[in-house]
Amino acid sequence: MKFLVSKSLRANPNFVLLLGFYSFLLLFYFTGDLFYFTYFFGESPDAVISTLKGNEEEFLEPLSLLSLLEHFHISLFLAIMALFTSMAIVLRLNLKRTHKKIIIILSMSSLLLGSLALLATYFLAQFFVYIFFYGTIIWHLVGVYALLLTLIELFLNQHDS
Amino acid sequence: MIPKQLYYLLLVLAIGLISLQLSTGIWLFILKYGLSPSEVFTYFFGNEELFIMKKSFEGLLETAVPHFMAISLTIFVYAHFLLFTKIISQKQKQFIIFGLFFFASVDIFSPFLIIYGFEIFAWFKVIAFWSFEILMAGLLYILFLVALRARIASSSASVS
Repeated sequence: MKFLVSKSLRANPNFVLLLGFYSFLLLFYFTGDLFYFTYFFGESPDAVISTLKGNEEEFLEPLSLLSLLEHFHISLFLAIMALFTSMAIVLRLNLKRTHKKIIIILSMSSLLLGSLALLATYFLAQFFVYIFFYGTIIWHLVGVYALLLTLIELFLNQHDS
Repeated sequence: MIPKQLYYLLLVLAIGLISLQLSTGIWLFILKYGLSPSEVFTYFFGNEELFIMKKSFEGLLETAVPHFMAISLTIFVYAHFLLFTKIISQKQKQFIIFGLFFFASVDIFSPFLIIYGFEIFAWFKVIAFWSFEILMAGLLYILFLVALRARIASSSASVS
């Protein structure tokens, strides 16, 4: 984002400290949210279907539309803010342009498609659960990867970005 | 050096995501409160005949507090891009920024007055909610145009 005033990540020691701790704590968001995702929806696409549609054998009630939307509304907001700010940092990393492009497109479009696929699984067809499940895992992992690259560039790479 | 094309690509993807977020906000509003001010009033003030409980002050706080942070942050993150564009005038920018914060505040504060019986605030909530959504959609449309124009300009510059 534009309010990351400097185009160089290492221009100012305070900026390094700020971005370093931000990236470090955001790593816990991405990993923690992945655990919360498996806790809320389940650890496999079949488990996600059981959570959404219910399962008579396991005495599971289907998830109500209101609960689904409330969960969706909150988790999507957090994900947008975490990914958007992480990708704003990625733009400033000393990486090849194609590398940055893959990170940005893969993470942001996985979040977008995964979120749409969750609604499509609930309303349209169970097939979409695979896009939701694997899309969600992808954006979390790419987020972690981007933040690890940031920390490496901030604290391990000696050359300027 | 920040690649301009990637910057605008990120902005377009972020606009897509926040549009989805706004859509679920509208969906939740209609599902929970309804479309008309009378339905909104009934939801918050309750109705003994319909067995609808009046909402408590603490219950309203649970929704209002995270919304103060989330809506302020969303407006700040997206509207700050306006500062760097010349596609609209300074007055229009000020109108959008003021309008977004004003309508968001009215929307969030109204239920606290509805539970004390001020029915007029159900009208204010409905008007403020839809005004906020329309203004936010307008802001995102402007940012999309800015991103699109800049992407076209930078790709034609790289070709020539």
